[in-house]
Amino acid sequence: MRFQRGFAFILLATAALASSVTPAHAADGQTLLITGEGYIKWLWGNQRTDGSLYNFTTIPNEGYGDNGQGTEINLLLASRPSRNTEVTGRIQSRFSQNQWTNFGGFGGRNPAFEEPPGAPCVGGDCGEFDPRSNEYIKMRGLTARYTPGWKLVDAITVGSTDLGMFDPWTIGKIRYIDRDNAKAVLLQGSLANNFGYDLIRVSLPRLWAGPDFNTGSYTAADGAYGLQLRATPSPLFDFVGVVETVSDLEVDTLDFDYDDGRDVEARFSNDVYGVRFGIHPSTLIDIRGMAYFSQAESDPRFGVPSSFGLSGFSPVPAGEIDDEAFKANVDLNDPFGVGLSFNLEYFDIGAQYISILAARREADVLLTEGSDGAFVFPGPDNSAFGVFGGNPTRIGYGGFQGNAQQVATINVDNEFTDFDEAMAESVIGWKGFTIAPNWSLGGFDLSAEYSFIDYNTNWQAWGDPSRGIESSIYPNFESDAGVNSYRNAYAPFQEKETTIMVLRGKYVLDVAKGVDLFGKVKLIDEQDDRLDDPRFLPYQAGDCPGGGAACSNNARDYSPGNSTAAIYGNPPVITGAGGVVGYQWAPFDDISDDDRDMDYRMIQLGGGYQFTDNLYSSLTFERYDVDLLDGNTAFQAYRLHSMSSGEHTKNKVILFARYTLGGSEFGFNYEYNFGEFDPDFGGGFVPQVISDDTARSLGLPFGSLGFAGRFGGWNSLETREFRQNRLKAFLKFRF
Amino acid sequence: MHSSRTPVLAFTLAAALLAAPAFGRSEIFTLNDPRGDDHGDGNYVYPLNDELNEGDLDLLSLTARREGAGTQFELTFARPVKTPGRVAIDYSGTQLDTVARFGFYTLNVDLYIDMDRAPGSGGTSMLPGRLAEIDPASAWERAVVLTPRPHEARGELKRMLARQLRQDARDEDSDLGQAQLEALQKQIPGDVESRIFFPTQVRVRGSKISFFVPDSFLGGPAKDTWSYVVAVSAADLLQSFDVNRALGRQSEDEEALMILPVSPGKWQDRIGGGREGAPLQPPLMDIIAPEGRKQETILGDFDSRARRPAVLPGVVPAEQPKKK
Repeated sequence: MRFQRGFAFILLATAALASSVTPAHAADGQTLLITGEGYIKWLWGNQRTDGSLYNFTTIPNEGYGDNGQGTEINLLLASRPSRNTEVTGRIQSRFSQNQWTNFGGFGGRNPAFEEPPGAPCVGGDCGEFDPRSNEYIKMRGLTARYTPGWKLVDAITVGSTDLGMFDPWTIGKIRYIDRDNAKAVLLQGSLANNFGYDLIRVSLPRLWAGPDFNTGSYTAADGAYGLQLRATPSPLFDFVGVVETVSDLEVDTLDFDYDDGRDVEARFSNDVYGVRFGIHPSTLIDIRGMAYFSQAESDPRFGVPSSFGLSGFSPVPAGEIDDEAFKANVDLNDPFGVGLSFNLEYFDIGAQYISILAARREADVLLTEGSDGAFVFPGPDNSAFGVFGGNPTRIGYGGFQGNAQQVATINVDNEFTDFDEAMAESVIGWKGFTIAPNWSLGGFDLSAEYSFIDYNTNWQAWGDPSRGIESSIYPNFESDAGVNSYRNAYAPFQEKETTIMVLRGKYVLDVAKGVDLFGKVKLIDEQDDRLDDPRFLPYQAGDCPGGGAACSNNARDYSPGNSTAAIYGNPPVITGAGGVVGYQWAPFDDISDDDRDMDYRMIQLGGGYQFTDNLYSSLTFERYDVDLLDGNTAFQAYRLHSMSSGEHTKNKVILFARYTLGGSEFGFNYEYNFGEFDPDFGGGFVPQVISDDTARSLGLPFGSLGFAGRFGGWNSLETREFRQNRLKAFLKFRF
Repeated sequence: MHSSRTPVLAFTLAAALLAAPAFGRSEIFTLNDPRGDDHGDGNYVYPLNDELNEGDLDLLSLTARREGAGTQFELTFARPVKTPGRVAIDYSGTQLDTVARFGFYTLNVDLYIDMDRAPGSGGTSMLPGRLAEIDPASAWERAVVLTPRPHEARGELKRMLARQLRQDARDEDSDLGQAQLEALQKQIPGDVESRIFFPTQVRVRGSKISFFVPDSFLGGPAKDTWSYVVAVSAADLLQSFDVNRALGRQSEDEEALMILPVSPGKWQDRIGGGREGAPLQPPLMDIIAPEGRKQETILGDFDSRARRPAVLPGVVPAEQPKKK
């Protein structure tokens, strides 16, 4: 009798071990293993958008939506042809516009035969004529790994890789939806005991790894080369050296002699050199540091921008640039023996630090929480960010859940995400420090953060007053206007300081299986004087006398031929609501007109409970209160963007559940968001009554007040109230 | 003057509050382990990725303290414990911090506790996938398993045992009747609950992880006269697919409970440096060895051909030489 004494477990496990003697190389040979994942997603929301099965993208014509159901299949292939060789592959479908309602993706309109060309395919309406809606299957990756047993080479990887062996400052791990898209040849090994290396050649992604988010017209030879040397001379000290060089080539159009081949020239080059080290003298203290230097050069002969206007879009600044990035961390682990520990971080990231292959998301290079995702891409008026019609919010009023992750690039990628995913934000230009104590007080786990951030991007006229204000080497993306932005690092005028304070608490209530109680208070105080030198004011003093008199338009040059009047033009005199005569917007005649002062408060309370081994659920409430001065009507949020000065309140109720069973997992994330924006754009202008067309276009009340800006965009003075319901449920299973 | 005393009072109060947890916690024992021995049998190497680095699984000490109605165990590692962030860990975007809710994700620590100190009394098996046995002289009555997903691990363990039981019943030489099978199946959840504890009150602070084990599980506070087998391994957070098993990275017949296997060569997704043709090589990166025994010898002393696994001896804190 094998089972006795009521101690089945121990005997069972013994039996299992005793039988486990199959040789490890049993699978050697041509055995092909096929496993798979299924992923079913269900989106629902009251925005009633159904462009695709992702909540968010800024990429034109890709579609976004908060409604729909879809299925992905992911087949994983693996084999060990020999004991030194392993081959893995992945074949996967994509959500894209593959809604269940496509009924398999048949029929649909064919844009290739539409004359004139029809609208882009969105929401699956092109059926079988668009790969994004006809349930197509793609090869996502194929990787051969060799362990040749050579003295200096431990492993050779050829094909797809996630680049996870480097670091987010140079060659970052590829995000999950692109996980196997990078293709490379990778050698890893040891040059001596405790001295390893990684040597890689990555084919440069033509979709985004160069100026203007592309790598030119000759792309197939573009690549990045990385070498990482890892030394651990002792358990108390380790050291890593990294070198990366990126080569984006174009054919020399002036080489007409084809007989000896064609010459190539660099469209874009990017070199990064860095060191990281760790000192681990005891368990009480741990010290880590890093220093990186980068240089990059874009050649405008190959169509890359030589400068940007006020709203440039590119993952790298123009021209020839170089800069450094430094970071140091000290962890003090319970130095007083009372359960109180500290994490300290200093950081200084240059305005021109560039690594085009740095991690774009799913990495967190700084200790600070940074900003929150709740206010990004809905603008304050629930548009995406602009002041023109036809630009409604995409992710929705609730924004992204949680705080942001920090990435060391302006090439931030929040595309094709859902609201429950972490938002990434750029930290290019940040310098400052974080002090993060954490301690236990009875049953409470407490942690806190104090961060002070100054900026290497604090400058006037883009840091180069010899150039025109609309001729900068820096791309501005969606600008720094609003509560926060995620990929903007540069502004024409900046004199900013940010303080972040966070207190988090967690307590396990000893009831039944234990109730997790958690909460957080977060304060952000941010001040930005922006234009702080009167010589940069657009017009001469007294140019706009007021009292219904027109402005004289005597521009003031801050350098020969350059004036901020190019972007801060004077207002016309109009007759506004109620027959009042005055300026359409306030003249920019004081350095305080563009000042920013944000007082941001967030409080979170929640509880979670593990109902069974398989089911966990939590309920969270978050409230955000933001008092924001973000310039007045003279500033106009750089003309194109929604003004956000005023009081913002936002509330989130989040119900989360996760249920696992064997190889399956069910997830549920419901959010109810509600709140208000009460604008306060200051004085010095005459409010206007909205036109019926503009009201219809922007979804504003007929007859409401606001003002039309320099480009005709409308900023409403109405208090706005918002309500958003949304849900993401999913089922994952492994087979 | 009243106002000048206020800061002093505030400081005193704060100091008292901060120090409060230290009081009422008496140390029961501390077991130390050498720094730099996170290499299993001496040849193991970490995966070639940035998730796990040398020192991450290097256990330096285990301390037990009396606290409230239980025992607070504190593990100290050579490096700060990696904490889970909001990063995707699979192809469908599962966020790491929603899966690893207890503040760590890279490691498992098993404690097998021999409470009665009677040789041969208790179990000698370790959890699935550890591929080693406990010395019968330290056969255990209770096990504590610190793992990033304790609830899922407990559920998975019950399922594994049920599968194993059904497999045993199907064996040709099995004398297990249907009634016995059903009775034993019903017995599994209770056995697991009463004998194996998966801590959920876990704190991660720098290089330390502490976790609480209630008296109701151990029958009282931990004792320094008990014997402890302590083993550190790399966690397999997703426990997905069993690709490792299918590809021969680990034994075909042995299930593995959330543990990364060890394999010959160097790889990105598992522990490297293993022996060729050694399915019984235990994927344990660090253990606490008793005085006079070497970890490398203990973990390297197995014979797959002879079906003889490595045997891990227990350590009795009260019998360890006191270090000054």
